[in-house]
Amino acid sequence: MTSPSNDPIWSPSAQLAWLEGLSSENLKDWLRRLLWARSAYPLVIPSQAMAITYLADVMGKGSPKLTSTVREVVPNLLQEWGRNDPTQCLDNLLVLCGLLRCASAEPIIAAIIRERLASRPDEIELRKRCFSVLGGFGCSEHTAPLFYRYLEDIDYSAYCFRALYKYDLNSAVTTLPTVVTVHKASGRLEALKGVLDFLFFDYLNRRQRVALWRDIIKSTKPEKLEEMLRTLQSVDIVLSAPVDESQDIEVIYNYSLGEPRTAGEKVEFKDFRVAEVAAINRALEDFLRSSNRMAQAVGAPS
Amino acid sequence: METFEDWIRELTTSQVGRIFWANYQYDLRKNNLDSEVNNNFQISVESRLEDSSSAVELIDAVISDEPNNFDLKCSRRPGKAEAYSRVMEVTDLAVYNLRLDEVGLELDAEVGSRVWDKLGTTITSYYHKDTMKTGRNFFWCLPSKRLSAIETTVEPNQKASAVRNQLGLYHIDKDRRLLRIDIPSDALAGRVIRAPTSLDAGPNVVFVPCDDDNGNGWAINLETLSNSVEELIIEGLSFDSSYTVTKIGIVSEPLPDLNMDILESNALNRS
Repeated sequence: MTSPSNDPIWSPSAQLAWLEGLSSENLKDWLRRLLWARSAYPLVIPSQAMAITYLADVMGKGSPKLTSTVREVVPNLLQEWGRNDPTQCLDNLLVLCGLLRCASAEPIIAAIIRERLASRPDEIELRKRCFSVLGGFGCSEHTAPLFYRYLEDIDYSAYCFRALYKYDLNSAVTTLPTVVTVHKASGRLEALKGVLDFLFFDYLNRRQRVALWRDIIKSTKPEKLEEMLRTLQSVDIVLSAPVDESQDIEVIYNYSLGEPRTAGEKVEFKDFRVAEVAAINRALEDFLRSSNRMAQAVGAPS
Repeated sequence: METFEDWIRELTTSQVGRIFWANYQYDLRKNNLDSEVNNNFQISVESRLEDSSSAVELIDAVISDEPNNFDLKCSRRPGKAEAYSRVMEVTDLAVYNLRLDEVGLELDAEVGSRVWDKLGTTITSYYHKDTMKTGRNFFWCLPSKRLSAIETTVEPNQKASAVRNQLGLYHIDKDRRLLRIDIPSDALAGRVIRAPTSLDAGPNVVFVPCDDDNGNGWAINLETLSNSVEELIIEGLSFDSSYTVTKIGIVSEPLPDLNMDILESNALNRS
């Protein structure tokens, strides 16, 4: 494979034009050489660029035909990767799969997670990369068991948790306590904060947040709920301190963990803005009145 | 190709090859590269002549296989210690230098924009990881004060385009998100910092070797194709929470058209 003029191709637009002209088989051969032999020729990779993300950017601007060909060819190459091949080669393939949305690679990546990677540190990193790409495709009925299987492994827990709640928000009701426990046991509270920031403050809207908390309160055993809330309090996901309502902050859950509990102690949901707090509180009080279990959790007589 | 001379002949049939060769000759002429590096380069090229189909491809093979012989070999180095910064595209940072596994952030086409949105809030320096480098074990940077000067002399919505153009980052197209990474001074202690040579740049047309008295290299301005700001390369550094990452902005302008004939003429006629 050469360029029409036999000149190396350095400009991104000319590189894209060259890639567009390749047959499926030639594109596969070129990618194989790029990934296994680290030769992009006749394309010249800029010295300041990261080759794989750069080429993904170039190919990502291609025609539907090129996109379709890439999404067929990259998974085929992923299938070719074997345990004796360089690990960098697999990492690069996975990055391409993720950035170029090669969703047909899903079963291959799932098989790599299950069968082709062991527990060496570099293999753990590769399995993380696998999960990150699978998560980008979105959890499916085929991969959900895999995400559940690795949920309790701290190395993959955050990927599995996020993929599962994006697939089915109801799963967060049962998986959140597990994820909190796993992170706490591993001393990864800073990371837990990030995981939950993404769930509560990025993924969910206010209505969904309140609904999720209600479901968690309803279905989590009181002692486990209290322990979980203490952990979340320690990473500022749950705030227990009195909040100046003029502050423009969000408080998901206000539970007076710092003080001795008293009979009938109230639990508050606040999800600022101030004007809307009253409505949320009214709804919550309705809920609390109907929840004998929650009353026990906060020390009220049953 | 059977001899080194055959290789040069084939190399210089292409414009990319002629620019590389002119830059390499300049580096030798100005003693940026010493005779030992040149000897090693010739030996390495000759040893691969049978295996390689292209003269330009062979350059990449030689310099990527033998980093100890050809990376960071410039005899010139900056004369004074100062603060340096790297400019990086956010997707590169997300894919290679952040522990996104800890927050479970998925790798897909939107990973760059997701990280961009959360940078400095949910995604903090706590998540920095691995090595600050490119595909080779060094990265390109410039004096922080120069970057600040570019950033402060243009309109906010033009910052990223101006930085891209003045640093000669011809691989960064419109809509890409640029970050500024300030290197902590402690990280530089005892590390190799050099002006880049043609061997560090490889067969890249947007590169100029220099004989700057202060030991700096110079980037090419994409709009004028003349020397722009100082640039240096630093060996790979451990990327930890002591680095400061800030947003420059989103590139708002398409890449300027680059006139290859001017680039070649500049390379051939550099005195």
